[in-house]
Amino acid sequence: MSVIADSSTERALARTYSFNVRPDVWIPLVLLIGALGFPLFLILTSAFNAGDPEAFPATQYGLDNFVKLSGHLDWIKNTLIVAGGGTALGITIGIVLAWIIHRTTMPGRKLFELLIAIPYPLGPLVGALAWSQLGAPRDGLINRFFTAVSGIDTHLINVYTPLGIIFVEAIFEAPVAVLIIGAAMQRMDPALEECSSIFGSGKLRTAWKVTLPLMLPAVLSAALFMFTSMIGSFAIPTMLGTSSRFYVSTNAMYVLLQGYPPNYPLAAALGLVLIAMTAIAVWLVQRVLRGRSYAVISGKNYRPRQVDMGWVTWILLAISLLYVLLSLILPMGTLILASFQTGNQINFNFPTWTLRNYIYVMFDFPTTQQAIVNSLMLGVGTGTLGVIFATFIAIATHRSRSDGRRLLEQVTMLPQAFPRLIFAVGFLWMILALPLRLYGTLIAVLLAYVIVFLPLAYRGMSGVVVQIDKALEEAARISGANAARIARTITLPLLRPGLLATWALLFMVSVREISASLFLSGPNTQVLGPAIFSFWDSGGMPRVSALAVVQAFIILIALTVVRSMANRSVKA
Amino acid sequence: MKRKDEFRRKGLSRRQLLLAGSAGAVSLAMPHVVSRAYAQATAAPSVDAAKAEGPVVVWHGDQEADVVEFLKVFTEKTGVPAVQQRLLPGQALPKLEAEFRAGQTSGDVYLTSDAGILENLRMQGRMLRYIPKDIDAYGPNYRSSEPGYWTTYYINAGPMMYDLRYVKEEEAPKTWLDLLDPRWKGQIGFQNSAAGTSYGLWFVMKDVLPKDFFDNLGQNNPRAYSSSTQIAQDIERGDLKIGGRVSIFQYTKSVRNKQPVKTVFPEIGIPCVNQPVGIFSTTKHPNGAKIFTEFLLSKEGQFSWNNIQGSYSARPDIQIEHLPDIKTLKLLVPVDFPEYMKPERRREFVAIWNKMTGL
Repeated sequence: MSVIADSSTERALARTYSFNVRPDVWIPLVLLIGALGFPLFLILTSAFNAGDPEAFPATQYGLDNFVKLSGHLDWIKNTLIVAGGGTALGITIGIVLAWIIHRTTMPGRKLFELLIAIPYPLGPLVGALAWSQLGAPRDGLINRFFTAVSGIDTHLINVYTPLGIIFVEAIFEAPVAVLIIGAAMQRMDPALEECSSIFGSGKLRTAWKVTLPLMLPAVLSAALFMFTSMIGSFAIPTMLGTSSRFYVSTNAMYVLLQGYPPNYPLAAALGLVLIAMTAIAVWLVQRVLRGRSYAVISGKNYRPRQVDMGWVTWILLAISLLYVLLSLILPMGTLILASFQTGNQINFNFPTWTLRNYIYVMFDFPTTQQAIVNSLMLGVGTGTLGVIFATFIAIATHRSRSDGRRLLEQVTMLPQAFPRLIFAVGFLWMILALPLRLYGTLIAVLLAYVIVFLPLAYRGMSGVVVQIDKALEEAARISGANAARIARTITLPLLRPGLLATWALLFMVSVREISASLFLSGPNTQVLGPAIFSFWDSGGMPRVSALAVVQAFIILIALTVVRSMANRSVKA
Repeated sequence: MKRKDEFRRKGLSRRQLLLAGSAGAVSLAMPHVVSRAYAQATAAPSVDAAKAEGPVVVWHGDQEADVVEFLKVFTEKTGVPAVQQRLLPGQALPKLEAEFRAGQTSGDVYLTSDAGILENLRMQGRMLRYIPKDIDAYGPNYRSSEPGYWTTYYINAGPMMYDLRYVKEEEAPKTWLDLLDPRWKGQIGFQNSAAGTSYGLWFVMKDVLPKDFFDNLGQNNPRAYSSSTQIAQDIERGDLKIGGRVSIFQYTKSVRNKQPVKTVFPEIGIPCVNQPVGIFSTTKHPNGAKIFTEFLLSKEGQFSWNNIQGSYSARPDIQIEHLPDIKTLKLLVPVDFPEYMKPERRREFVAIWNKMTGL
């Protein structure tokens, strides 16, 4: 008896102290730890540099920069205000719109589903640019219209305020919340709601008391995604906040890095604080969700009942229309109007309008031509590499029997905690320190994109991989198919819609990327985000608007093509 | 005394002999060495070699559209291709530092708003000396003390600016101290601390204005912009009343666009910086870089550039339409160059400017 006990104890100990780490886990793990760890190490050493701020590597270490940072707590406070306020508003919009689209009988739901998704790929740069022309206190179109109609010579809205920044952040990030919460709503078990109705609860009470709590994991997941995005958000605070003396961490960091002499250590210390804030948010969400059941968003394919809201339907339609108006029609309409102008002020004198700005940005200005081509190539490259890498990682984390799967998943999601601006600086230092001649090449930009968007790609592919039943592949194997045939005839066709959707998402986010590209693009590697930003900085409103419209057009074409391919794939 | 005695007793030591011999050799060779260095610095670049080298990479802090237009003219005239990247000094220098550290540089020619930066780079041996044919058209204040390291390609004067649609002429500030009037609270715009022109402004004004001027100006919540284009844009749109310091070419551009803008030149003077051009010693396109510099500083190039941008040339033989006669202006230019270049002075400026603009 004691012999048996001893041997089982030994086996248990052996299991505890031996690691079964297979190549499908350790190879990506080592690659990721290297690609993330080295820049992080450089940022860390810079943050603790207490000597010459320009010394690289640092010669003296200390906490001086964190002490200095304590004199700028307003940057961190403002970051939390914008990220917290933007997330709260964005989640509210997301819950309401997801519920309207997926759980009510409102007419035109399919069309709204498409229209509501568009603002996200258009991106914050387009949003900030358009709203600076819509909501500027004196010259903004909304205020001009208000003054013309009311005769009151004051502004109705001012987008150059914390509230304005929160509003623009929220409406351009809300589509992500609609997507995440909507997906959960579509898979929700309707029995619980039916129970609530049987016990006499009204529709709104059921939605509030049953549907919403069941959505908590999805809501928190969307909130976390939005919060981390907004903590690192660069374009909107820079374009709407800087000139009104409103500094969050990113636009302050940009000035610190831009200034001469640059204050790398203070910027790096600020970056570390942002990384810590994001990590705390992730930890808090995990803590809230710990022990809760995710059964409502499992692989089971429920068809939840859609509710006829009666006369309230028209209010819901108005809400949906208002969102599309504020996030898509007004911004794009304003940019198109501005792109036809000859001066900085939008006028409605049609004969003075011109197409010259489009001719200029598309044909006369070599930077934008190069930027368009490079952005397209980077979009395709990021989509392809990101999908391949994310698929392998997703298969490894969900299918492999190797140890270290959870660690691989956590490391894969780590870039989400890095504000892209500070990651780009660390990444730039890394490629300059490596013996490889990567600096100033598109490959360097591509690698940075793949890393920063990996969490997004992994999230997409993980959701697809987990839904594919292993039994199908096992059946094929029993029937004599080899691994290549199984991949070609079973796995890939099943993965295809998810692959396409993730590829399209990566393509769009890389075409609209700006904060990482600002530090990584060079004279021969211009990309659209920094090109638009530079034009905004020094090129005048008509031309930058034309370029933003061109960028939006490219993104919309990509969206349409991929959507039709995905539809065909699903039908097939 | 002992040494003197030894010298008398033993004559010259071996070391002294070697030193004396080397000094003699250097003094004999000096004219030749100097003339050789001069000859290298003035050696005409080859257009064919420049074309074979590939596009010249021009780093600058100017308006991208203006530089692109000028590069088009440059390529048409010389046949040498060129590309540009807009980098303000604060962006360019860290990038350059990192590139020098890695031994890989991407820029060839640098056009900047901060002559102190080029002078620092020259002292570090990072600038290539090339003396263009027209160097004598530039006064001593507009080029490096040893000609050929950097030369001023335009003079960036910075008056105040406002739009008559939003500010009446009689109410507009006339002096620098008028900017302290609370009526302009939140309505004055400057470029941020990354701009060389802001450093130039602070450097020349700190000694002619009251010591607490910038602190008091901070009470009026001035706004920081990353470019003078944005300042001009907000002035024209009525979202900013006063440009505290606006590059004068913005005025020319606004006038060309028939905007009712006015400039203010306070009696005490207006800040002004030299915008120099220089070639990096690590240039991968030395022929193209020299041809570019030669063209930019030539009479034709100077007219072309300053006409495109609407700015003052450092050459007295160039006049640009709409600009007030430069001779009538009291320009305050940084003259104490060693002080201007000191890192601690810059750090002092960055701290004051960031505080003033709310960062």
